Amino acid sequence: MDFSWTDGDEAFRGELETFLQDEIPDWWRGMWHSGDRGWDYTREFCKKLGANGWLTMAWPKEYGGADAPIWAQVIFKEAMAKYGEPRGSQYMNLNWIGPSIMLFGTEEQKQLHLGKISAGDVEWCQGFSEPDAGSDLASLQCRAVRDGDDYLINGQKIWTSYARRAEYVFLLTRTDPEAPKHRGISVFLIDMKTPGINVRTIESMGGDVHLNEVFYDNVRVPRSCMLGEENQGWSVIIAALNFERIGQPRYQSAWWDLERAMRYAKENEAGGESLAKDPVLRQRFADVYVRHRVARALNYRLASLVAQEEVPGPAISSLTRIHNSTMTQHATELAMEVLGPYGRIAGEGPGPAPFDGLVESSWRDGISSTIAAGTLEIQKDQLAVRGLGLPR
Amino acid sequence: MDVTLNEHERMLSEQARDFLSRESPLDLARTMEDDERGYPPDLWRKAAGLGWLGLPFPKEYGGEGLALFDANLVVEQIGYAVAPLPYVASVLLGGMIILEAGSDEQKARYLPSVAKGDRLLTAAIIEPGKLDIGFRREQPSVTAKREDGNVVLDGVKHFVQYAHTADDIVVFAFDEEAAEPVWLVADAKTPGVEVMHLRTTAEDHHCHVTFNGARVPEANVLRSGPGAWTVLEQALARGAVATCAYLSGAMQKVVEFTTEYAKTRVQFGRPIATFQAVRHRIADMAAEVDGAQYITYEASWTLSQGLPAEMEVSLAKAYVSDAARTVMSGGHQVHGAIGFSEEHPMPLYSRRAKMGEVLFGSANLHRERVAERLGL
Repeated sequence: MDFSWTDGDEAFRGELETFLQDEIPDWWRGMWHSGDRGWDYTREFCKKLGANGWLTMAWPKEYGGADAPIWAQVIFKEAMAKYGEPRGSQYMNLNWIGPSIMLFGTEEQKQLHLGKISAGDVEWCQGFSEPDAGSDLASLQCRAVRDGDDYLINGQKIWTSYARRAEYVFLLTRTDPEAPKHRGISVFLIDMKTPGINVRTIESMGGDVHLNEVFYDNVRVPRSCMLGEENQGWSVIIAALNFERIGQPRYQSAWWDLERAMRYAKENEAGGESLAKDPVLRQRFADVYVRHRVARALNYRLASLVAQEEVPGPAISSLTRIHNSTMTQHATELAMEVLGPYGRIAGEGPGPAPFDGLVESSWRDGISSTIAAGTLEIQKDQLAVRGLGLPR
Repeated sequence: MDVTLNEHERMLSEQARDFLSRESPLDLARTMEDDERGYPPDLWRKAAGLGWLGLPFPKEYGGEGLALFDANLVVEQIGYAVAPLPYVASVLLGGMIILEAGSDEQKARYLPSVAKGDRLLTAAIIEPGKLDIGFRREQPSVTAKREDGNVVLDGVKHFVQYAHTADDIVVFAFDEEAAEPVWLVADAKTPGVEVMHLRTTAEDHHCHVTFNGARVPEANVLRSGPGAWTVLEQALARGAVATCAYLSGAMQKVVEFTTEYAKTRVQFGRPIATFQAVRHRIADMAAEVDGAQYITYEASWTLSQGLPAEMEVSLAKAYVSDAARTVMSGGHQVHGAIGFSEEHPMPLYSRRAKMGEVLFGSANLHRERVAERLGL
């Protein structure tokens, strides 16, 4: 057991922090809440990360990465979380889209995609959920039918983040409707400008261009767009999700919500007494901090296993996600409560919103933390069934 | 950074689990609840034979020279087995207080026999109305008056575990003349030491001890002055983390047998685990246990390294105390009536956890300490 950072770790953290403090503009309010200017900025930012060798540092050397140690990756992700994920949508490219292409892609696909991704100059979206396939993702119905050397794709995807801007989609389709649901799925890597693809933005609580519906109407793509074997798409997804093993450090963004709330409490009073002296609030601040540290310890345990090249079992990844996602909500809810009505002033307006409205926007984002990428209930079921061996 | 047990730690932990699963069946824990001594001397000697009782003491005092972290791995397994061993009282409190506060001569006098299992220690810290003594640096009300080569003790200590059967009691008192706290070792047979052996929820042999003009040789004074506060704070930190380790082990076991029960108990024609209301409750319990185990490891490691650990200790005790309540009530609920029966393991675990929840500071106390350290 060893909870200490090396001098090298600390130096890297310091170097990153210096870079980010200089680099991140004052108007930046996180990836979901900085408008079109913000999305454009994420692209500039990724190019700069690429120039510093940080963008693909987790990738293997043969694909232009640095094979960075797991702990450098953890430090890097914590820094990105602190600054509201200035990589924008490109974290997906780096975390699992690129690695999936390395593992399953043809030479042509690697040539086409990996260079762009590692230059930080391309945006992707993931075509997973459908109106009738949410938690039960494997029941997806978007059809891809062989037509000569091509496939014709018809169907609808929904809740597709980034689709309005994305240049490519990592699309799950059904190629064999007769097979059991996990065995008839294929993955396509498709240019979003292909005729027949239409995007409709759904206004959501999560800020601008957060969610979209994407319609695929007789979209014709060559077979060379398929990633992996036909009908083997589910194993591609499982492998892709495995690349995300050390996960997003939600505990770290939640810490910044807690930090803002505590700062507010120290600077404001109720009934002539500092909010920070309220015994009930003190208990609740401490409670959220405890949860933050518990989630962090579990994330570090997960990263330790990955560093030892062990494959963490389903129990460990579900447990870690349960702690991360629930503690995030404890933090955002408490912060909103502490800020009172001022916490409801949106940062987009004429103000004055405390912390530039970041507490308000975090609360909005926090709602999705127990829903997106597998609901809390799905995580609990995974833990119970695959982790503890309980029958369904 | 490596938040996993290393080879040595894993072996120690597995050895402890194997040993206790063989040597400390649940019936032994049950029997010892009503036993006059409160622990089985045979098992205690065997634990000494494994080196457990001197595990964190230096080799020169008959110990193994291992880390406090290692000792807490043993405590975790004691909790897993609810083994009736006065380990925390004798080794991590009594023994380690002497190690930190005693002279070379005093360490040589007490520690080798503690490590061999020939001498049982306990520590008298808490007082009526002063449950959080030490955490708040409250002046102890037990007085120590120096009188012709002796120290005369007067006053009452509460919740002194195994005082009824201990050979020596390590006492935290106040020297009014010098106006400073003092640590000393009192032979439990000293006239004027009166022990009331309590019955508690956990039946874990806590006692109230009254010192009624008990005369202890001055040679038994370990440490006085401001340094005595530091010794107290370290002792409470060790007690809090050891309690977390014990609870963490106990909760792991409860999740294991609750999982087994939910797989095999059939109602409405199917195992009750097939109901999501049951299955998700067990998942919640497992998540609490996992958090409890690793936040305890972090506190235990930080303390063991000699680093400032106040924050980590309070994080752990705050989290684990609440987690224990969630896990034990979940275990009871899933088991239904059978878990209410004393023939079932469930009460052995939940009754002990109910004690651990408040020993060395409740969740509320430790959250307040966390708040202070967050600068609130």
